[in-house]
Amino acid sequence: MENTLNKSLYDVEFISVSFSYQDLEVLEDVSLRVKKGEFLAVIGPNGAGKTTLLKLILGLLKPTSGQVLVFGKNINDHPSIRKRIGYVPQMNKIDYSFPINVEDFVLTGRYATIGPGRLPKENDRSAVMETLEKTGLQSLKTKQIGKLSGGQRQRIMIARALINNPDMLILDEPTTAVDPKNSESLYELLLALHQQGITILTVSHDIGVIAQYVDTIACVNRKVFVHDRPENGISDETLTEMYGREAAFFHHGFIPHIVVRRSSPVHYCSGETAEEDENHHKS
Amino acid sequence: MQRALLAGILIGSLCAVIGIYVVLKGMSFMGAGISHAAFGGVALGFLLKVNPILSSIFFCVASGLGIAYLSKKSRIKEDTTIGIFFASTMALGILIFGFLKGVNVDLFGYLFGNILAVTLNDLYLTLLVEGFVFFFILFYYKELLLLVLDQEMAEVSGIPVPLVYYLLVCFISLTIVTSIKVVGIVLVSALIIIPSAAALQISNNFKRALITAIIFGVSSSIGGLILSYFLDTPSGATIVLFATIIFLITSLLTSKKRD
Repeated sequence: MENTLNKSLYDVEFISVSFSYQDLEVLEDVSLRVKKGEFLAVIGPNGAGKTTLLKLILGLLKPTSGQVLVFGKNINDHPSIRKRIGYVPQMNKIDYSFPINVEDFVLTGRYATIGPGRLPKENDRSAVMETLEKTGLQSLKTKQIGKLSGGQRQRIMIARALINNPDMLILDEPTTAVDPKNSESLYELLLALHQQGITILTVSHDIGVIAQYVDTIACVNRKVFVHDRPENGISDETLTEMYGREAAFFHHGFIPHIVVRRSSPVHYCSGETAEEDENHHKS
Repeated sequence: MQRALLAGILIGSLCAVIGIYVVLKGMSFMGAGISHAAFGGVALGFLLKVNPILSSIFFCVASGLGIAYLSKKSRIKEDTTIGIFFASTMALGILIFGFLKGVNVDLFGYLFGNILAVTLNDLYLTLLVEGFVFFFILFYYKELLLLVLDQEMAEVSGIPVPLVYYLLVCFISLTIVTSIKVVGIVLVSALIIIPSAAALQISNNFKRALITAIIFGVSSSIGGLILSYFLDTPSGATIVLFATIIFLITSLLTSKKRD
């Protein structure tokens, strides 16, 4: 359902963006472009700016310098863009004892389009039904959200994000609290959405699995470096380069985990060594 | 007595409805902080020779907004900010009342409630505030629900979160001030929290939680008032104890379900 005046090839553009939180520089001179229909994974050590990156795209934060464009526009100046984005936040942010059932929870995804002083209409309710069917949640629609399993909670978050048929889906660590079987079905769903042309950005630590599905990988560690998905999967060396420290895959079960060793004098994607990075933060 | 019962019904329902949002959003301590600021507000009223309820309204709304604003903008944690407002406004009140030794002030009534002192004007004011609060909650029903459930999602959806949040804080302050004559400064935050907490224990649905809270709030008020009339006890305390008994019953019912 889109604006034919939007000539931008890119759904997301960061133009020399820096972001500081009080005195701490979280992102430095980021220039990132995400093409329409691209499937991008965002990886990096914790606290290195991944969530900040997402929040800048969503308009939750404003850059300290530079510009963030979504669908070619500044999201804070064009609030109608918001309904074109589906957002799946980290799962642990919700209080699951809240008195709301699955159906009403997914309906909250429509609030962006309904506006204050108005009630949800028939088409909103039917959009909820459709989305519940698509995500296999039909049988659970009257269950209070606290009574759902981890995998089911994941699905209601996704259903909520998909209800407006977004052009872009943004996920923040969607598989962190979810078992391998549900992780796999999530990635299958993302792949299917990707094939429909939806742009997907996901922050993930499930790098071994996601490497099979994504087009590009953005490595965030105050700076951002973009790699194409390595043809032969990601080796331990590539992983080390991305994480900036000696890192290896540790396999047990289906999903490989990443183990990162602290001490090694390895270069970050940015080319700095660990000491240079620490000095940067001290000054 | 009729006026007292009417006041009880209005206050019971008003506090309960606001209370659902306060409890779900974790603002109980803020409620307590604002209610103690009312002590400073009342004192200022006597000092400046204006209606103490009016001066309390301004003072409490200012305190509430001050707490909300400072918590967001400064590095200080919210509960520290509230603790500071709580104590300093109370201290201001105590100092002012110290100066006004000659004035006849029913301090006990303001602190613990004096239902028999409720005037017709008080009832009109309560009705007015209740009207505004119900209108606000109905108009922003969805927005408030999402704000309390998942504030980040509310922001992402384009809901004017700062506006809705500050309005909520204003209405919490107004609710507190209008309830002071019935329940008293010390216990008003209990009437906001307890019936709502009880209702949330037994509700799986937001609308049902609001309605149940109103039922519990009004029952506590009426039951507590009638009891306090016969036992000649302060109205506020009796109402709050009544509400607490309701809460204990709902707790028992839900713990039985769990077993």
